[in-house]
Amino acid sequence: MPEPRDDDVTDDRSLLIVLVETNPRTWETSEGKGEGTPASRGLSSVLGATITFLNAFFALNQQNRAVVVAVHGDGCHYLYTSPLGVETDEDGDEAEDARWANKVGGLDPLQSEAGPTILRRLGELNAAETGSSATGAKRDKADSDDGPATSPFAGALSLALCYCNRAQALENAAGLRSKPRILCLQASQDNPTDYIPMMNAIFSAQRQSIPVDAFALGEHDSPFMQQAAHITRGAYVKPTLGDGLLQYLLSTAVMDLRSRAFLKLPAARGVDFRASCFCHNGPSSVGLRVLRLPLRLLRRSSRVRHVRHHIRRPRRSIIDVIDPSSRAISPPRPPARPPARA
Amino acid sequence: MDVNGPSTSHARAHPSDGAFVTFLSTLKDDSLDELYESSVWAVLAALRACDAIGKQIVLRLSFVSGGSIAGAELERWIADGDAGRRATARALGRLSRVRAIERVVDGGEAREANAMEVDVGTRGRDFEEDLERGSFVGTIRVRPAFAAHVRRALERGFVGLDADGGGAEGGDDVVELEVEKKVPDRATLSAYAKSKWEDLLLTLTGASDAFSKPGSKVSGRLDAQALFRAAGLTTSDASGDKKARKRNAGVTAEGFRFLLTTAQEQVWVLLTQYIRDESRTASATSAISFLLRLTFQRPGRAYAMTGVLSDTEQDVVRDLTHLGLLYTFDVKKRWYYVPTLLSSGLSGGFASDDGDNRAMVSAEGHVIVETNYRVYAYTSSLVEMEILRLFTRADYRLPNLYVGMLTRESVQNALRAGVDAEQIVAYLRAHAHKQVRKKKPSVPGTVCDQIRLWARDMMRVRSDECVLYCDFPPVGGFYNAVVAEATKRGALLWRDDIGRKLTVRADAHEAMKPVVAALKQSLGDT
Repeated sequence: MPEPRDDDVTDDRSLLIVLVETNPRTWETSEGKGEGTPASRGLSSVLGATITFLNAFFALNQQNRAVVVAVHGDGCHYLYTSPLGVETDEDGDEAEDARWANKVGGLDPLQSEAGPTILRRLGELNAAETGSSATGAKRDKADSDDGPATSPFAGALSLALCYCNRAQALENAAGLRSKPRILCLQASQDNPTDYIPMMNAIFSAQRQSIPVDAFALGEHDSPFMQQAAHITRGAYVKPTLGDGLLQYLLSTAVMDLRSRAFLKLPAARGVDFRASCFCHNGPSSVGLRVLRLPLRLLRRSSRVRHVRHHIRRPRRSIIDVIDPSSRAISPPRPPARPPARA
Repeated sequence: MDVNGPSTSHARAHPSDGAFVTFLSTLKDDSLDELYESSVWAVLAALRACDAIGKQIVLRLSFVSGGSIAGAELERWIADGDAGRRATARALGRLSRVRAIERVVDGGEAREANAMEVDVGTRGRDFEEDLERGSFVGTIRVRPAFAAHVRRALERGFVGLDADGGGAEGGDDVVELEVEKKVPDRATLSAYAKSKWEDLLLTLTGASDAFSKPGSKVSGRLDAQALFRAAGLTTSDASGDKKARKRNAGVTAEGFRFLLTTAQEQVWVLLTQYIRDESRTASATSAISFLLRLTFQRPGRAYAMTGVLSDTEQDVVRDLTHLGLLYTFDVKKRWYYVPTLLSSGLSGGFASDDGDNRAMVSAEGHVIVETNYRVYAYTSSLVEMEILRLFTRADYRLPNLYVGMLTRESVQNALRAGVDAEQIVAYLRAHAHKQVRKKKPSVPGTVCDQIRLWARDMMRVRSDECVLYCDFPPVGGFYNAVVAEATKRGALLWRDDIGRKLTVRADAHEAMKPVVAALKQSLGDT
């Protein structure tokens, strides 16, 4: 056998899924954004950097594909999807011809529509929202009362994983392969009630070896994203220079999986592994109660009753009451608290 | 840095570079710089042609003020371990071969200060020397013009990069509608490109003469035969009497290798040769930059020609139409061109040899290889059959099927003609049938190994003309001195210390004679 060429031949084609937070509730306040963070420069500056970054991504390889998902207040919306570039047999001639305008191995030599499409779709999204706000005003008001604004990143991650799965299934059928990765741009804080879906999504990503790169744009660290990046071997970045977001993106997130074997990712500076308490919506160091189904964690024993109300199922089958004096069930060995950062 | 002697083409072309990178690295320094300064497309094409790590380095540095990084700082990017360092050194070498980056040594003076002396062939070498030294010295800087164009392209989203706006915009709607109507649909266009390209390849193998008479089919001034000859794919006597030519006569080893590479690589080989020819007659830079711009245009879309392109560019369009890279038509005396699939995959990215490139004309996949060395190819294309005929014994030919056998003789014939065993394997893999592709590996491992073994078979014995030196005195340093002298000249082929005999390459014998005589004078008689 000839010796394998280790660094020259393999291509760097990838499928990148960008989850960018566009939730108006996050962006309309200045709360939690701090001084000098990318989030404090506003959504437009973040989008500008993201679009330039996407252009860089497209410039690298004609076969690179990107999907941009808006993580919005009411759910997730696709802002841009590169054509999959896989011919399926079901397509009639008409569909074929429609895509032909856009066709070199499925893709343009340069995908120049990404930026304009993203901005247009986002505009439509906002227009639809203001249109419906007359009817949904009451609900919005009720929502806005409970604490800081959060966005459904767990849902977005699941969406991204589903997309990867679909793209890979199509490509395998055509004898191609792609190397997907996910990039999260999060400005708000984590939503503690999302802990379980978030961890589920993270573990699925890990299982499929899809790295999740995470950018915390606001003032606060995001423990969920730290864990996502740590577990899936992606990069967690918390930019300190608001204007330099593009440079941060270009030096970490644009790296394809192949290059990651040769170039370093920024080192994580300590990951907050603490799980979230189900009822208190906050990180907890020691869990006292674990419910078997679904797996949930309680910080205080007195809240068991409250939980039972929530679940509405017979007590014995679900709640494993442990005498706090005998032994506390802790979450998968929480390590020491993250080191204080400078 | 020591200055090499006259560089051979071997010294310039790095074996792992694709045809395009090789072409860029053989351009003269100032014309390459001029190209980057004038054409943003050239910059994008060069960026794409680099390998993954090179791209990362350029992207990171392009947005830094000054675009430079100290070598020591760069090392902190590299992952631990030898592989990372080696890959980075190679990437840097390739980047500096295409003059995307330069190294500034301490004192702020660019290395290129002595560019007059430094030969093209030594570009990028010093990074591999760095690897041996163990550290990257100096400061590495992306050339300002290169970085500026990368920034501009990314920030504008690839739109409006040309001074003239580009594209077929601006016409009135009626004309536009008519143009739209005239653009052929996808199937026609790819059939057109494919048949043109196959004709071209058949001309190379001598099975067709569609291209041999310049201007016979299309009014072009392009002589395909001359192009093949200039690219070293055929020898000059091949173009003599066509009737008397046997199949594949005059095709060089380079030519056989050419047949087996990807269509993308083939197009680049011919295009770069074409540009080289062109550079003698017209301004090379404008032709190259136009060509590179073409590679980024959308296939299946009409671009205006009359009144938009210069005369040189229109000539280029005509020649490329002849090759099947473009399709031209006219509406009311105004000419338009449509890029075909052949032209637009060209700047697709770093060429990969795993056959995934969908832009390739023949990537559809039609070959099934069985473990009993039988090869089935579902194709009606003459070229594909010709290529398979290179290394298989043809057994049957049905209207849509070619059946052949990989035998020792057939494979060794191909190897003797200059094809590489790896190329045969790569070709079979790249063109594997859709059904077979689902399996991994798509070509049975035993077959691949056997092809490689056959290749190794041929190198079991090598014959060299030589002269035997013997009858040395049984004691004394004379024998050892002669051995040392022969080794120094690289002429020693074999030695036997006990019998005191050695053989020397025959062509070195004359030069050795006086030396041996002198040694005998001083040592032999003692």
